[in-house]
Amino acid sequence: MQEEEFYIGWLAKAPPSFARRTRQFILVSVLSLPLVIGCLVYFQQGFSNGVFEYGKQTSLIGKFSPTPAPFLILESANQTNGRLTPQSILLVGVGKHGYFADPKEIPAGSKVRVDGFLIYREGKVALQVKSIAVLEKDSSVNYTPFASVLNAAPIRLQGEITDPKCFLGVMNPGEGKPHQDCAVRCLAGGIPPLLKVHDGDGKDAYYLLFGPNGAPLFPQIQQYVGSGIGLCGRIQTFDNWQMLYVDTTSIQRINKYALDAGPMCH
Amino acid sequence: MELATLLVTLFYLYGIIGCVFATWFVLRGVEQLDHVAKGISWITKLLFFPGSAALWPVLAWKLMYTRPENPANKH
Amino acid sequence: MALSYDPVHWTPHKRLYDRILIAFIGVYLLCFIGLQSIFHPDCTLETTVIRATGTLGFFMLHLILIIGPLCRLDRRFLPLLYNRRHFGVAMFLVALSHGVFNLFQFHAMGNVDPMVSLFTSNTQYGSLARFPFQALGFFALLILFLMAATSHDFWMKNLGPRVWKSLHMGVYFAYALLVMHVMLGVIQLEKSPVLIGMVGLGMFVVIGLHVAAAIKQSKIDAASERNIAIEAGQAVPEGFVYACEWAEIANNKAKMLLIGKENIALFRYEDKISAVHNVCKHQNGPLSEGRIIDGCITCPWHGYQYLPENGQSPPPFTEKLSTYDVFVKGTSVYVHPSPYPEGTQRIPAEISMVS
Ligand code: FES
Repeated sequence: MQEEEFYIGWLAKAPPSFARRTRQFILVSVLSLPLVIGCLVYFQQGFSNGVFEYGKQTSLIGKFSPTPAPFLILESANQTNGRLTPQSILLVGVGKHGYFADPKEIPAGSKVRVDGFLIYREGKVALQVKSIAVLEKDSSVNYTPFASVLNAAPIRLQGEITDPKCFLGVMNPGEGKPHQDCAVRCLAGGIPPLLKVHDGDGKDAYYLLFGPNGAPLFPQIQQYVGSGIGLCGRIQTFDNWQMLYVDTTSIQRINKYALDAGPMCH
Repeated sequence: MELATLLVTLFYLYGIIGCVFATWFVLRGVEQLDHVAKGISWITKLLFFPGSAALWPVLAWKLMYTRPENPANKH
Repeated sequence: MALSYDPVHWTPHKRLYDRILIAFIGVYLLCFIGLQSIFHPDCTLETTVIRATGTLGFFMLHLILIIGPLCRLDRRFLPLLYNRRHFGVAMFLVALSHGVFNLFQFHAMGNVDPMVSLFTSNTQYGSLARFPFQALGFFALLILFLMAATSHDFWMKNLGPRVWKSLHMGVYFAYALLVMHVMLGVIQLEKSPVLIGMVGLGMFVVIGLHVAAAIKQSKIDAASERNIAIEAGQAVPEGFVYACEWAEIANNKAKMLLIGKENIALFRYEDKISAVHNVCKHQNGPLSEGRIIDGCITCPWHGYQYLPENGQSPPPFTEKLSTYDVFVKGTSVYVHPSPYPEGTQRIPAEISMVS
């Protein structure tokens, strides 16, 4: 009987046939690397161009508007060397927290200087507040936060709920199932929910969501974050932002790309 | 939520007890359980640490209910 | 063969193995991060790292899982099995960095403890498509941690080979959890059929090789049982069972026997035949696939050694196997299928070349 080769790990050399098999395995594994990595990288669906300027501080002066969500209303574009047009900037806190101001210290309508890091995507801008200084307290004026009128008729929208902080640029992707838990955490921290509406023409629309009278929607909507929903609400335009005052009884789960309009809104 | 908080707290507690136990175990207990482990190096002790921290109830049970090996019977 | 415990029993093979392993991990991460920054420059670094470590860990787990069946199909893959535990620990460390990055990215700096957040952010445990997939990843990581933490021989000895082995069979459960983690997680966002196909292909290879190895093993088992069945009933001493002709066993090698529940390795050496329990004390390796080296039965998996006549590892080692009585009549070998206590000395049966 021919002597077969035998391998013991603690010997210095493996018999040639064993060494050959081992080399083959390593070779196949290594050769499969480019293919595996190539496919994994190439077949991802792509990422947004959202930006979070973490570590790059920006200083902005404007009017503070606390309701229904904290905004800084930029009065002139000059201060950013034209980078930002006059618009409203959503203020958010550090980490997964919203920004909260004590109304006694920073009354609505006050002129403030905010230092922080910009977050922006597709014309929507938010700012992670690092510090805020009141320049002029203006509590005497009865300040009306919104110039525009609340649309009278409710409309129906469908899309996905996420949080604006991550979605605009802190995380990429800041939507979908992998990001769902994080979005829930941000909303729990007081950041207002954002509804991303896919309009079929490749252009998406975004709405900040509130309860019927501007109250926070979390935690009622926790279970709807990160997947497709349809809902009814009344739109209010606020500079370049759209607010949606949601009829909470109308929320239902749907395929976010479905074309069916769902039940009528009342 | 409450249940989750409770379970996570228990998980942390288990881990903390495990780390305390493991510190003692790799320094002393391991030699009681297994005489072969006498005089092992620091790196080996460090290597035994995570497992000791994770399996502390098993090790504690073994230490209590098995007689220490008598090195004299060996070899 | 623990004389005392070292962190690692270094051998030239292990060093080579580890170097290849580290190079493999390094090349993967560099290529992934490099290509990602070319094809997806908008992707954040955190996301890239999370995806690179996640995919690498999952890929490594596949390689680890196919080494076992490959070795059963072809012994010459054994050098890969020999140091697989380093592969496993490395895979765990990659998976751990994936887990830690995720926990920090998605759950830290919020209004509750990150671990509480992990289990309560998504509460839809009743839905399949919306199932909290990160919890699945957590439990898989826990299993991989237990395996990595107990991979040293110390644990095998002190937990007992049976407990240790079943703990380490947990890798299959972890694999199932991770397939779900991937399918219910990132695949719900990245719906490319290529990515889904890759997960499917991985499962196909892992399951396919295991089935092939199981079929091969059952054929071997059936063959050795058939041998015994055919020849049973011959006139033999009380209680002895016919095993084979001694000429069927090559010198310094063995034959495996399954008699009832007993798994026996029958070794031939120096014109003698001895029988010991076929299961290695180290990691249940099949001793009958080993051979006699320097007068000792040598396990094919990691080289543990035992004396054939008493099943004991040569001093100073202390492992012991059960032994069996062997009887040779003419050219036929018979075995008594009731084991003696581990390490019991039995007189080997002599074979005479003349008859
Ligand atoms: S199983 Fe490891 S040496 Fe036998």
